[in-house]
Amino acid sequence: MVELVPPFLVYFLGAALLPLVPGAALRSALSLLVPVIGGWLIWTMPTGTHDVVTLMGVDLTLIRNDRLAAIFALVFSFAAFVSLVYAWHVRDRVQLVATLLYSGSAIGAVFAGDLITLFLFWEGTAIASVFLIWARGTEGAYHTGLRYLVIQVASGVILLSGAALFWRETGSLAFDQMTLGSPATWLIFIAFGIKCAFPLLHSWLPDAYPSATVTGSVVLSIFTTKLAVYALARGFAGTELLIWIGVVMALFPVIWGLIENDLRRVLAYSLIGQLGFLVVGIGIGGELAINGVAAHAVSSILYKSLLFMAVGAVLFRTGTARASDLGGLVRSMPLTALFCLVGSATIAAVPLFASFATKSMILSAAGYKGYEGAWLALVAAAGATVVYTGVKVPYCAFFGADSGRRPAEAPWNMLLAMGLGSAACIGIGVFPGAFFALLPYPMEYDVYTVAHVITQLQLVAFAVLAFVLARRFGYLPTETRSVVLDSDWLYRRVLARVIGGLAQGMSIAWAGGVRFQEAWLNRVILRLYRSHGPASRMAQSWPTGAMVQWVAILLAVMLFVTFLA
Amino acid sequence: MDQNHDDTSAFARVLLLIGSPRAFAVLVVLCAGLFVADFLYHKHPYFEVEEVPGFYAIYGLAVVAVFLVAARLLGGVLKRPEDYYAPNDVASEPYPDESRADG
Repeated sequence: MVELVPPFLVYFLGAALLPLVPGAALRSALSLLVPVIGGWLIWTMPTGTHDVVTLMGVDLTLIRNDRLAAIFALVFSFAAFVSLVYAWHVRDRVQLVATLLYSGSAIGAVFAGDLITLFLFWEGTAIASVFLIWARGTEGAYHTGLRYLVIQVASGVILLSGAALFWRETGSLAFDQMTLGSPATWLIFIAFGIKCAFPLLHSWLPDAYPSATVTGSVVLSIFTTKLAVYALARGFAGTELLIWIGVVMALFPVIWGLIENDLRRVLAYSLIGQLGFLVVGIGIGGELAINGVAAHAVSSILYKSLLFMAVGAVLFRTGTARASDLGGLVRSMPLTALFCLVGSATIAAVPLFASFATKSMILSAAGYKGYEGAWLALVAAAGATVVYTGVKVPYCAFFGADSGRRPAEAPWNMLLAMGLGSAACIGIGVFPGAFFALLPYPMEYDVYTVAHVITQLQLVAFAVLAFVLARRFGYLPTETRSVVLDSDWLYRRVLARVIGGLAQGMSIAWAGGVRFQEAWLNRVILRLYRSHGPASRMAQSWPTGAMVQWVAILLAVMLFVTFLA
Repeated sequence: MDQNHDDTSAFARVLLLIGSPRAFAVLVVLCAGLFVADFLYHKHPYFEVEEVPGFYAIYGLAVVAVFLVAARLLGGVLKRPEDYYAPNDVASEPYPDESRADG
């Protein structure tokens, strides 16, 4: 029975009622209450399972609260609050409703205690979030949204089939630690992997996220992928395969991030790179690694949304996020530039910023367990991240060659949202102990050791040095208006061509068949006409009274049959 | 333009120092200092390779260099014109004016 108010309900009620509120400012103000109430419910919620409801003979556990679920739900609430502040100026009710349903679904999924509840909220995040892409209102956004929706819904369908098989296999639908092996667990694993942007399953992310509205991209960057990280941490912690998947995820986006011209797409690739760290952490497993995953998920939500907000503010004011069209904006948008630098310092894991405290736990766990290859790859990825996100984004937008653009500073609400995000990034970096108390497992972990501070500063400083030297000697990849091919090329171009070719071949074959059939029929009819037509040889012998003759024959047969009967 | 230059606030000018030649000199000094500092403290490494003095410095520099070269090479292969996927893609579309929504 429902004994607690589930937090997602607050979001769904908000989504139902807020569009009715007249006055945009009042609507925006009231929308901020939703994550506050939701967050308070989560903060005060007792641990354990609650709200078990029976639906069509299946017990659905709406709330399974433990420390792993709580920290994800709390950071989702905080990030939802910040993104609603950022979207204060948006008058579009559709985006508001989509944001609330999307956040609510993500929080609902985090608390889901069984696979069916998880599936319902999993699809909820897919369907709600696509409206943030469609809200851009262009033809390209419509097509991109459709591609995104197909892939996200497919992930849900695969999850559902996995759940069904799992139920047949084990007789249980509980969503707990699983062992990869049976078809059921593989299906569930792949469903999680699609949303987590595993290599070759990832291309929906850099396709869709930069295609959303300014505020939509910020919201998208928060939920879907981190929900998948939570699901993997809950279901597949310690699965060694994940270490190698994560290593690939951490490394390959570096190249695309360096080439890509659209700064929001650069951030999308860097988002995949950061997911790589989290996936490696899940693969390592154990208390330190899972603490590291939870902590670094929090910090990556914070800095990634902060960077998306800063680039979004640039897009909002200038109408473009292309590196080739930007540069030198610090002159008129200094505060946005400052917040962007805070985001950069955080993703680069500079001491006193959140990632310095959180990323190191995953690296330490790799060290303790002796995964030297994975450790070397992650340190390399950390060094590259400094450059392709930490330096490239602020350099291309705010510093670098002056584009001559002098847009106004971002609106107050965007600055406030970025300020909140920055404060959280710095707060965790300066007071890691207080933050660590929220993590799933109690631990003793000293972040600020001399060795850690010096080695990390070395990594950052020399990576920046490499960038500066490359710029001096003209070795940076040039920023030109372009699209960069990724694995989605396989289905957007190759598969489209193959299907197009097949369709063309089929239609040619069909037309040929039809023509052949027509010619054959024509020939048959013509031949019949020649032999039996009015002018044919057969017609010459038609007796004039043929019909009378046939009637006579029929009568004779009738007489004969009647006589016999 | 001069007028724009006057508009640049003192705060923005401080931030602009990040791109100045002086900042480059500071970076070089910082790097040198950090490299030297590696000899001055007691390490407790997970792996042997960490005991190499300046490991993180050399590794960071090398990794970035390798990725920059790789990006240059692959960039030539993977880049296409902006309207490659048009009209099924937003890359070549102008961003719609959001101020309309404010009206």
